[in-house]
Order: sequence, then structure tokens, then C-alpha cells
Amino acid sequence: MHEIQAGEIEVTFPSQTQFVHMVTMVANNAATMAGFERSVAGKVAIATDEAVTNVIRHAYNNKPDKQIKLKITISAESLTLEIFHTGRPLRNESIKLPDMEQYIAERRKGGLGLLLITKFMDEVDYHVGKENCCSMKKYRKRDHAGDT
Amino acid sequence: MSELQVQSADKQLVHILYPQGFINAHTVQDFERSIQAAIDQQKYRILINCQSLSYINSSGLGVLMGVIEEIQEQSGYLWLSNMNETVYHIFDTLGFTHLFKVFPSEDEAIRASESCAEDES
Repeated sequence: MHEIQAGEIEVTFPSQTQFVHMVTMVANNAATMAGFERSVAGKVAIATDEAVTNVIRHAYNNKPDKQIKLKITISAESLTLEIFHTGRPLRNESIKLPDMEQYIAERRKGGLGLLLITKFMDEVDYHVGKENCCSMKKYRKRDHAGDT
Repeated sequence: MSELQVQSADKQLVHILYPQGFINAHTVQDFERSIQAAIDQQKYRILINCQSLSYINSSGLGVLMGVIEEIQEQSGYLWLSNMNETVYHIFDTLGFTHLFKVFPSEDEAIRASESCAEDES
């Protein structure tokens, strides 16, 4: 673990898939800067990719002229990534994560993004408001033991 | 240079794909085209060498799920090798390593394919 860094980063970008890789790399770099192992930073990056892609695909229904804001907060305790948008909100109570044994047995496709987010982050919360938000948190101390 | 390039090669009985870059919602169609091209040529023994693949998201996994049934119906397989840690975590976390066999290296996958061919003969 490096010396603890703290700070905030905000990136606003259009609701187009061509921007997703760029913000995914911002999240990856922020996680590395926050002292997470490279493998954990990779998980944070994938969770960010999935969350931002969900906003483009489902909240904005692929409309390319909308805005998405990614806010990253590094504190002594955690790394928090918040994805803000004004499209159709996702509500905590409407989330149904797939059972993977059944999923694989039935050869289903799609619907794995939310599961990856849940598995790769420590906390995930969806807020509905003037701006809707997907908030994802990774705790720094839980990472001391290694790759979590 | 595009964000995803997929080269291919035939080695022994195996059709190998070499994705270079990342597979996300923006690049997934290129990935899908490359797998579909192999299937269209009736190449059902496919290995994806992930040496130069930085990550794959759920869109890419959807492509694999979309073709696995047809490949298995043709007595083929869809294997993967040379995964980096991030790519392996994605497959492992979702239990996909049970459905898609993963090899540390391309050579090991090719040796396994030869054993499969011997078993069949």
C-alpha cells in the first residue's frame, strides 16, 4: 500500500460507448493511485465499464446526446465511484441477479453486468433523484490481506 | 489503430483468434464478427488466445454464450488461453471456467486438442 492519497476527480462525457474505455481507464488509474493492487484496480475498472454501459444502454436507451458524470472520491477509508445521469433510474428493489448455475445451464445471454459490479465492489447502491446515481465503493483496508 | 483487432491462424486442428485491445460495448461487434466468421467457415474448434486482450466485459461474454451451443452441437469447443488476471477473474467469478476451458498457454491448449482428436479416432 502506498501512502494514503485523498481527493476527488470528476469527468463528464457524452452517452456514447466510444467514451467508455477512457473513463474505465480513469477508474483503473484512480484505484491504483488509491493503493489497490493491480488485480483489484482491474475489477474496479470492469465494474465502472459495466455501470457506465448500463447507463448508456438502459437509462438513456442508446441516445447519444446525453451526459454522464463519473465522480471518483478517494478517502482514507475507501474508493467511491459515482455515476450520475438523468435517464431512466435503476432502483435497488428492481435488481435481480442471475443464479449462475441456472444461467449457464440454460445458456442465457446478457444480464451479467450488474452481477459483475456486485461481485467486484464492496458496496453498490442506486439512488433516485434529480440526478440518478449508481454508487460503488471499494474499501481500502479490506485489500490489505491481498486480492479481494 | 482500432481499439480491437482480431487476427486469426489455424494451428493443427484448432482455429485460433488473437484479440488485441479490449472488448466492451464499443468493440464487441468486431469480436462477434471474428467468431462468427470462424463458425461460417465451419471451424468449430476455436481457441481464443487472450495474450493481448486487456479486458472483456459482459457484452463480450454474451457473444461467447451466443455461439457456444452451436459449437458444442457440432462437437467443437471454445477454449481460452493466456488470460491476464483481470480477464481470468471475470470468467472465474461468473463460473464460466466450467463452460469454457481455460489453458495457461496456447501450446497447452493445442496439446489438449490433439488428445481430444486421438480420443475421437
